[in-house]
Amino acid sequence: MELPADGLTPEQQHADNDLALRVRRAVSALPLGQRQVVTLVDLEELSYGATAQALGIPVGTVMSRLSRARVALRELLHESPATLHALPTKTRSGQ
Amino acid sequence: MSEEELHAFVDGQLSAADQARVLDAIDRDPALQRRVAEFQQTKALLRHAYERPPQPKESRTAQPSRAWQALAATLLLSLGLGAGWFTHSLKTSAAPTLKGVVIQVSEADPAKWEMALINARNVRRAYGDKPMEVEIVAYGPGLNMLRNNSTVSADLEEARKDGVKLLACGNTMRMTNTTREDLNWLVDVVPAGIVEIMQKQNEGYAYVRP
Repeated sequence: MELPADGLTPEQQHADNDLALRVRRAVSALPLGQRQVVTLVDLEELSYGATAQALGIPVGTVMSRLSRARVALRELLHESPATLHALPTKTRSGQ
Repeated sequence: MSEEELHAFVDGQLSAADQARVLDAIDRDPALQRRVAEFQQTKALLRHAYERPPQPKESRTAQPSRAWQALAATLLLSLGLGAGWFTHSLKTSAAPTLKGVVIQVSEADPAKWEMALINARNVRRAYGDKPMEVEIVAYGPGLNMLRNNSTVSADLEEARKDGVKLLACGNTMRMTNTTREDLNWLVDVVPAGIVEIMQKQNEGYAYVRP
């Protein structure tokens, strides 16, 4: 019982690629301050403290920017906000 | 609870006491579980998107939402979100040859022990009958998690039933004069916890530290 080597069908790979581009586009659309925080916390995996230090801003600002960035990303990435929630139901009831 | 605290929870940035409090609130509130899962998913998507450069093939942009749905479904599956909300540290979804997950417990913090057990059981349940080894390696002050009088003894048994391996560090046992009898009977002993973790990572296990 093994998955195919890369675990994705060509169709999924295409979708995957498409999504990666969309995510990057969404990140680049964020205001600079939010983009910096998201990059350091989510991609570089710095702690809030280290992020605050690196950017010379208070930890509270790191937290509020992160919070705004994630909400914004979520909206940018979901064309209709209902898409994601609708997924499981759709799959279940889809003919 | 503030919005910021939820994010801090997702990022593992809360103090032990706050984490336990937030975890408790999340456990009791499906709406919070959904929000946490969404934040974790956004975080995972981000990491996924920057993991490898996308190949810009001038793709038909006609149906971006289909593409989104297909990948979201894949991601949901690989992240185990389908099995319920998912705690913060499983950022390891995309590795195609993932053999298992090794979870480090090295702190004397019952909230982290609980988190490790929840992570472990969520992964096991998400994969069901499919092969996916999950092991918790306890060393240093974390060894207390596996003692007979541990606060999570009952959860250890449940996790073991779900197929989660519980491994104690032999070096820590020697240094703390701990014998096999001091530990929960479901526990196995490895020579050195940190070496076990390194080996498993080398074998294609994802590494998680709650």
